[in-house]
Amino acid sequence: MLKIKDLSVDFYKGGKRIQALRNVSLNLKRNEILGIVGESGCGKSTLALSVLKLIPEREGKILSGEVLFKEEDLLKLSDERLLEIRGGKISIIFQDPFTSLNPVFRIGKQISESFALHRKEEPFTSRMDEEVIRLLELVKMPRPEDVIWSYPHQLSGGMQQRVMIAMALSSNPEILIADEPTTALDVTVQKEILDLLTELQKKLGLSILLITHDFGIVAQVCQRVLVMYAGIIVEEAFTHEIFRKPLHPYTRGLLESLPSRKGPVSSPRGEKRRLKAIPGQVPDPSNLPSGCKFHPRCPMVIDGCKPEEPVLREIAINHWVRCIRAG
Amino acid sequence: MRDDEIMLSVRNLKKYFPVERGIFRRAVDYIRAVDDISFEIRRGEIFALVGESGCGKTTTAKLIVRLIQPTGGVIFFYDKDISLLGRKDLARKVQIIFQDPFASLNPRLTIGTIVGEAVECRLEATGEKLKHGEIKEKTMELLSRVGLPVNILNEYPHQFSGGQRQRIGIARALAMEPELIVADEPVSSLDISIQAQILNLLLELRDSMGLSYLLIAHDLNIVRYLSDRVAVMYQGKIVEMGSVKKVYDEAEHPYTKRLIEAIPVPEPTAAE
Repeated sequence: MLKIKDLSVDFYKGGKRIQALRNVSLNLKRNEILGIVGESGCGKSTLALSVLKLIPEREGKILSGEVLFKEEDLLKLSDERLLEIRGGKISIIFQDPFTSLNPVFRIGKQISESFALHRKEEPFTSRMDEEVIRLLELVKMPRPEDVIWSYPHQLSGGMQQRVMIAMALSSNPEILIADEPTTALDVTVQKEILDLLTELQKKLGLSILLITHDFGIVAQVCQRVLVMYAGIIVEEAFTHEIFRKPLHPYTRGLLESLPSRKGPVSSPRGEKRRLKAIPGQVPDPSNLPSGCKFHPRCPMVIDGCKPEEPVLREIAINHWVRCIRAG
Repeated sequence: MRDDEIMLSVRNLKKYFPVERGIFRRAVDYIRAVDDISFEIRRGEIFALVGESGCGKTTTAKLIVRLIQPTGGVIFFYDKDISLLGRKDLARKVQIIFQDPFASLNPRLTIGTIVGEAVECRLEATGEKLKHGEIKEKTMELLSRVGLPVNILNEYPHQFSGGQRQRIGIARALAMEPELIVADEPVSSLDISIQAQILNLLLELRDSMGLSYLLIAHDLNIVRYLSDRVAVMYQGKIVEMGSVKKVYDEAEHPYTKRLIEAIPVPEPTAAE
């Protein structure tokens, strides 16, 4: 569906060059939910924005690479053609639904606007109202006839995110990019939204690129997952495979540092319980270490890790890892 | 003091916020943020309050350190009613660390001042006299205790990452040599690889200094791992309370069940 090849993006901040993405390649397959996991600053949001050329030109620059959607390179398209695809064939939803909605317009008006734009129809007709209600029903909004007359602040976070999803679906997209869609929501609401996304994916045959920091979410909704660290992909595999056999020391460290639902519960007081933490901190993106970007924090580091960036190797079938010690 | 002794006892605590209307700001209704809750924390225990946004857990934290005054109810620290204690006396016993390590440190003060002030405050309260050099020494000792380098006394908060700032906040709390630390979402703004470091630090400090914690959190996996007992809050009330094992494995209240079922478990279930 969507093919990204060797994408590199730089940002410039205070005279410093920040390497946000380095040679990122991925394939989003039809009917797939592909997860991209990583910590803040690893480049996962930059990746989402670059796909739709949404990086502000003054701040950052796409250095090289291709984003292929149906044989067309999105990065080379004219602005008009790009507008048709962005928010049309490829929609995006963001972390914070409240800042993404306009506070002074009613919900119905906002949805019908995006609807009209992509279908090239007159907005605000009664037929349009019906379409908007149909969309709100699709995202399981309670009482859609009332909601279209509401303002964003009158809706809860979960309902606002449903509105955002309805808007994203108004153009009949083939690909949905969801950038931390549930991070701002409570757990019970998060579950509802994730259930909705998986259901819509099946019903509408969507392909979803899901960006998250939460391995729990990956485990529940994604078929495949990419792990990013300091702007590069360090591991790629099917979800069950990465949980069963994580190969990169960073992936392993992240999974081990999670308090799981199984681990030792409430050991008697006085007994030592500790999580396995990854030592150190995420490197400064304007001053990345040489060689493998993870080597200063890695428990398995050897001299060979320092001079050169390892290549992404396929160690088992469909399981790729960027580590010279793996396999 | 015995280990099982009850340290903090909260009885029928209430906090109502008035909803005001009109030019006379007449209270037309009340939001019952905390509505008649009672619980106890024993010495050396990690007690967790969990619930979703708006359930009243942070309001409870603020009431315990007396950042706000309750509408009703009493809080005892051992046998003393905390409303009868002076501000500094209470601060020597109960300290708070906050969720956002960016907002909770004064950006214009150096690390040495932020932690050093708390050290001085502690001395003032005990009546001890220390020379300037000794305050500095004590500050450095605190910084190394929370795993920070000691040569950062002249640096400013913006020079540190989120995890390091949280450590600074913990050092400041420890300066008062408290017995109870109220930790309001201490890791929810940190990256996963850093969260485990800070949680381990909290556990280490409990073991080495005999601290107790009131942990306020929404991440049920963390609570399960860290706490001894847990109370589930919903709309200002405690709906379920008990040992972690009991609450997680044999939840009785429908809300608790719903909350636990909603936790994303890091074990794959997605269709292949």
